[in-house]
Amino acid sequence: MTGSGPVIDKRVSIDDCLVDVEDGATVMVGGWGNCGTPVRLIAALAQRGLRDLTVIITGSAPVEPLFEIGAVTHLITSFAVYPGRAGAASSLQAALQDGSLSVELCSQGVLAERIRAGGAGIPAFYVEERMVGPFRSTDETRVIDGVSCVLETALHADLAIVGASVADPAGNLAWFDGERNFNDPMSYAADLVVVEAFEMYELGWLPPEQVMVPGLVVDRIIPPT
Amino acid sequence: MAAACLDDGSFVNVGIGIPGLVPHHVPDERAIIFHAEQGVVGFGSDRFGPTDSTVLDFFGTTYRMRPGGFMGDHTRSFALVRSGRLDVTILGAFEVDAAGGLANFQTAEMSAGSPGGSPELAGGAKRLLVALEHTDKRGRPRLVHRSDLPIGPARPADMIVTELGWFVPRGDTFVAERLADGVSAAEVVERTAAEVVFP
Repeated sequence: MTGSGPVIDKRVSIDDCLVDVEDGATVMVGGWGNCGTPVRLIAALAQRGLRDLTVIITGSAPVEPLFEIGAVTHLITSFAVYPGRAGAASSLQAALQDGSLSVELCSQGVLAERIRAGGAGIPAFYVEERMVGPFRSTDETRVIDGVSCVLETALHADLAIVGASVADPAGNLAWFDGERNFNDPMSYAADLVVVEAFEMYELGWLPPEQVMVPGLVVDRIIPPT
Repeated sequence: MAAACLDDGSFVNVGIGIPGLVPHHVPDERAIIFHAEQGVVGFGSDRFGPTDSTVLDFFGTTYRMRPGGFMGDHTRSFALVRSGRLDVTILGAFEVDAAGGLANFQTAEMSAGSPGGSPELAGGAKRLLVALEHTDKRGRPRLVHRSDLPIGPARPADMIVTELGWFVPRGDTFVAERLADGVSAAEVVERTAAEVVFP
């Protein structure tokens, strides 16, 4: 590398990366189904044995390890119980039935936009009412330009765990093959952002204009095994 | 049959279930641009290639990107959806009522629901098609006058495609626009829990 200044290196070990997360935390988990999901970080979070977590994730299946240990009391999601698995016994189903887990359903794009807003300093925004159906975060409506809209609140978390197709030690991120999904907006929307890198390159390998999320919003990186 | 409903040049979202099969039934020469929720635009069936780029859907099914595709994130993806750029959305459903309402996010067996992005995918599309099997595994009709299940999207379906034909919801009745080869009106009536009109 040319130039001066301190070398930024945000790499930490998987064992150390979540030690300061506390009971009651709100946690965003990136990925979409099997695509770009930070599975090692989910396992590491489950190992902490925390209680009373609020989890924000597109679909519930990847965080089943957290339901298994009863760590989650509130879930904000687009896919809570998957239709094909309605009859299958799961810890999530059990928690729903015994009342220890509550669910807030949100249409997938509104969920993404609430997260984007949370990372962009926008406390709330209006969306056309016909886009949300019965799934809304407030009952506040307003007619704008003749269209009925509903107020949707931003989401911000204590912790975001996200996957990145590629990362450098400074936390600059980029994605391939549809793995960007929720990983990009969630990277901005939490006090502590921990990234599971699927591939790692040296500083400078990613051209600045191809960095999709700048390293300055990322706190810690877990390199691939 | 749903694949035959699509015009060349159209921008189309296909939902989970039967609709997800549609890209695999579109011939290579058709210029249809498929959209997937995670921000992928321009994938085709797995016959497209050669290309070094693949995309996984929600359940890990692999699609190949066609040349000229785009991959963004969920916010870019639904910006395209809510701003009215989708020509057609094809969703699945557990049941659809005669007013075109989609019972698509929760059954009696499910202790919580899964709307996915369907409220926006329906609300933002110029045309909303529903592709589903005409009856469930126990033979119960999925086209019903009024569903006992909760309705998800605020926007009603324009057309319903099943293995028996094409049906348009008209409020209290379904109009059978077209029957599949070898299907009789009597069979449609017997397997539908609402009045069906045959023009």
